[in-house]
Amino acid sequence: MREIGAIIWKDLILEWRAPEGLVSLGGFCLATLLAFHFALGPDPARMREAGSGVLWATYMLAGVAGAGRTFASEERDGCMEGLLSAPVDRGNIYLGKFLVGTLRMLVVEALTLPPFAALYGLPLVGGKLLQLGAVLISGTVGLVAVVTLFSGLTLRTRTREALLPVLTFPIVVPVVIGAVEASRSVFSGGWDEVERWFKLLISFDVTFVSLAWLFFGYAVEE
Amino acid sequence: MVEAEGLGKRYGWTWALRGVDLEVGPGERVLVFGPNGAGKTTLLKLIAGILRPSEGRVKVGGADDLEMRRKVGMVGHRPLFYGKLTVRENLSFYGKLYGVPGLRYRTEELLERVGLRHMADLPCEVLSRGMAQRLSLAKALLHDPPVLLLDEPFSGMDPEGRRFLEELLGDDGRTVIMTTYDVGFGVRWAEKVLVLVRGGPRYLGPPPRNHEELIKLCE
Repeated sequence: MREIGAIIWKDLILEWRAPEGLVSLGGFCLATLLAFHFALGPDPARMREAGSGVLWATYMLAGVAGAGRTFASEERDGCMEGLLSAPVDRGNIYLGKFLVGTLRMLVVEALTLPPFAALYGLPLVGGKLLQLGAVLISGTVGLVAVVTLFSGLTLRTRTREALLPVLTFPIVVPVVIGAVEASRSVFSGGWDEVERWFKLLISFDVTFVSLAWLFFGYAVEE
Repeated sequence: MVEAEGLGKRYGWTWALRGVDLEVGPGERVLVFGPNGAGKTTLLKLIAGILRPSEGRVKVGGADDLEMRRKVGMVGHRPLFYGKLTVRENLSFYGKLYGVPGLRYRTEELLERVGLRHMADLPCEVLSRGMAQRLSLAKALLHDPPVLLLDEPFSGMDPEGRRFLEELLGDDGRTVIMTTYDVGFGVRWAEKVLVLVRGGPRYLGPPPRNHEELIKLCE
């Protein structure tokens, strides 16, 4: 636990001192939401119908775009070897990075959710907001779990930017489908449906985080 | 203290290092020498636990994996510091990873020892190569490891830093395995020499009488 805390502390300080990554990620999300808003046209019903899909397409793209940030400091300063030479379980390095990545995405989501609700005519207050919050957290955990693993795997490859989406998108599809359906159910007010998709998301999260924790060591050492 | 048996590392189809047997006793000083691409850095990274061997095994103080890494401090080619963190924060971060007891005191002590106390609150990105190398040395000593691995430690060091490092290498009592192209110093300093050529061991034994003989071993 000590080393996970140290990695989180270090990454949060770095994020605070170089906030341009977070700002550009937020800007990217807003631009995407805005682009979809104009593409879907002025029909409010269509906008509400497409809302959950637009939301998760945006966050999936942002998640992969932001993946470069996960090991950015290690890449820029060559510090991955410093982490690997420390007496720290590789899985714990993964967990530290995964938790910071999840926090980063949740901050971006919290900042972009109000403009999303306004643009797509989806009032998010009270119970609905809480339900959507739970769906956002569970969907983001699954997304970031996969993205962090592949970000570590492709750290030393030259075609990283091209490889990362190719590897990540097929694997996060179940998470994104689950998150889209759960969000749609939140917007339409069917709690039973939300619960069903929410349970599925949780099972994806547990599976992805466990597998990534197990295999991260092999991914970064070979 | 360090035992390697049939140690090898392969990248794809290419062997970077193969068939290295090495036994280094406590407090022994070993020079690893060879031309570029001989596998010197790969060998040190395997002993440091940064890389996983493709064949063979390596142990430090009878331990492998996590415990092995605890017993080793390494100064590599690159300084391995986060540019946006200060000198003190970098040491503190690595100290937390190693679980160093009395970390605050230990950090200040080492900063004083390597002559970086006055720069402790500066971000690492402003350090010169020589200063960063001194900080690397402080990081390697932070957890007081019995084994020190030094990969080209003199590169970029000013005379003062070099003097400090030579003092440390003189009578510190640690097991030290070093690569350097400063052949004259290496031959004087080492008690044992391992010569690597194209990933394979060419010579293991007492140091030759002078650096010309050492260079001949690589031909």
